[in-house]
Amino acid sequence: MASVIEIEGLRKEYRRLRRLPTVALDGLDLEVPEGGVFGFLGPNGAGKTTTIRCLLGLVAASAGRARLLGSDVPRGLSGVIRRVGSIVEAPALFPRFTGRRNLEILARIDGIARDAVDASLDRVGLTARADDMVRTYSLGMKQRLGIAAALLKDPALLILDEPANGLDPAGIVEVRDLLRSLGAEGRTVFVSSHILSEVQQVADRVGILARGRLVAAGSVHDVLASGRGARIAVRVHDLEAGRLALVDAGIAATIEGDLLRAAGPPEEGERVARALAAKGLYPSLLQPDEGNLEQAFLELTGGDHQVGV
Amino acid sequence: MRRLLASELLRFRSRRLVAVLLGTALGGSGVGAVIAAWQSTPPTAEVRAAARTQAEQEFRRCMNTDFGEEFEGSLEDLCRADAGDPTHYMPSHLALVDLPEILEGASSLTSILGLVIGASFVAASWQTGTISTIFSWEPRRLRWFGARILVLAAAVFVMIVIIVVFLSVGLALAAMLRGSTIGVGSQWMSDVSTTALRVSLAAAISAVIGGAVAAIGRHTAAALGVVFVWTAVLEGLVRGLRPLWTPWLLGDNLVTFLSWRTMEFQVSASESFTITPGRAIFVILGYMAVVMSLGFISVRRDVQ
Repeated sequence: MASVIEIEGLRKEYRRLRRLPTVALDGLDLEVPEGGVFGFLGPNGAGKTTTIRCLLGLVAASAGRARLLGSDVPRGLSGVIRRVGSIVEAPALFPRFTGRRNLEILARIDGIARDAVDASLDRVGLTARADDMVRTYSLGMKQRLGIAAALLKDPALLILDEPANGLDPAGIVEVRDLLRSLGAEGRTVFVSSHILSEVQQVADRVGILARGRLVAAGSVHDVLASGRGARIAVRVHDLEAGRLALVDAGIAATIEGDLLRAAGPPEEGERVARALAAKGLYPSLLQPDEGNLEQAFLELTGGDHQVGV
Repeated sequence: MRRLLASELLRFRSRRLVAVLLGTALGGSGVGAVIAAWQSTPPTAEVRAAARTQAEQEFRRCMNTDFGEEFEGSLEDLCRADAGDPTHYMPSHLALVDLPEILEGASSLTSILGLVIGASFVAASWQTGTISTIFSWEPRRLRWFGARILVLAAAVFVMIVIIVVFLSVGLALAAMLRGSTIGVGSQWMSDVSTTALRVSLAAAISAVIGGAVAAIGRHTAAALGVVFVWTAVLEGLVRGLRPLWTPWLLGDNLVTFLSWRTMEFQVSASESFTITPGRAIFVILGYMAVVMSLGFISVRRDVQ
């Protein structure tokens, strides 16, 4: 599978007068394969937006190399930018122009027909407010207009930085469905977020960034497994007796809430059941415990910074 | 490039500031013409005849005078323009023949208008953060900057032409109704046209300078402040402290360009200098080249 984004050893330092330079990216390596939704996760300040800015040529990298759709950034960016739609941080559009006029101005840069503007507005559900000034829009509407702008080019690659920011629950569901459908159309959607539950529901693959470095990447399942060893969740009426039974059988186990968590892959389920039964304990629940992306994320990033769920 | 120009032009046309300033300028021109008409007392036929007779006498006297020094142009032109102008011998009124001077006088306002529009047109993209969006559509920044400056210069030029034509038509109507049109002919028409062209060009130059400075500071107010401090404070200090540097100052060269007359300055008994219109164009183009180069270097900086 070809990579639409290739990043090797990317480093970005922000130099400030009379202060030590701030390292936003510290030798980032990342490959994003073509097609589907790729979740780019990291706590606030991890370097997600800086990575996107480097990819779009908005900031110059201090070192390293980035390629977008096979072209070096920033030198070859102009050759591929027509196939890349993006939102960087909050969608930046002219507040005193109407939503439609904002899109028309962008559309003219690429000679995109007015029909495409209408279609984009329609796709994000903004047709009714298209002729109102952007400054009268809610944050969610501005996000949707930003997505409409990104979709104008009918892009092969969409780079969306925190697209669910400011959206109400209904808006979040809409964006989630939109991301899924865009991925299903064969486009690559690169979506950065610190809202893990959102990404887990739409992403095929994820990359986790912490302090400017990639700490895990792969399919959601692989990343979940890499956060810590696989476990099996067990419910028995006497948790402490159950824990001792498992430890006696050579299975590491801990009590978490009203569950026992036994270390081991799902295939070890039978052994766990036998060990408990041998002590007269019969589980009312026994299932693989994949955990969630949030747990994996916290473990991989050392639990630093704020994380939205 | 054509598409980029079309996009920038649409953005220029869509700006509320442009509409507000154009409307204000046209409204102000209309009000100015009405006030000029109101305050003007049209000379009667007798007054005009007497003024013509006196002008002819003064013209002849001027032609017979030995001025004893060299001056630009022919003696006849000088005498005709000065002593031989009948409007000089009439009570004060709105004389259409003075339109080129009126337009020259209005050029400071139109240049400020161009400066404000230029600074705002360029800086607004940074202040609203839309520069990220623009660069993710057109990453070739030199190309984008060139297109924006080109559109800015052309649009401000056209805008000022519209204002000047509106003001001229308003004053012409006022002069016909409540003033005089003595001296209006083909030479006058040519003077009005070239003055209008220079006034519009000066505003376009101001817009380009304002836009380029705004690209450096990425802020409208900062750009206007810098241009104000440069032209009103620094150049004023240079004029006072280093008068021989004056031929290199932007303000004096713009004035020379607008008046299209050679400016002569006697600094001391032994030191003097002149600024010719041709030299003024050269110096103004130099300023534009420097400030646009700095603007482009700044445009290449990171976009946060």
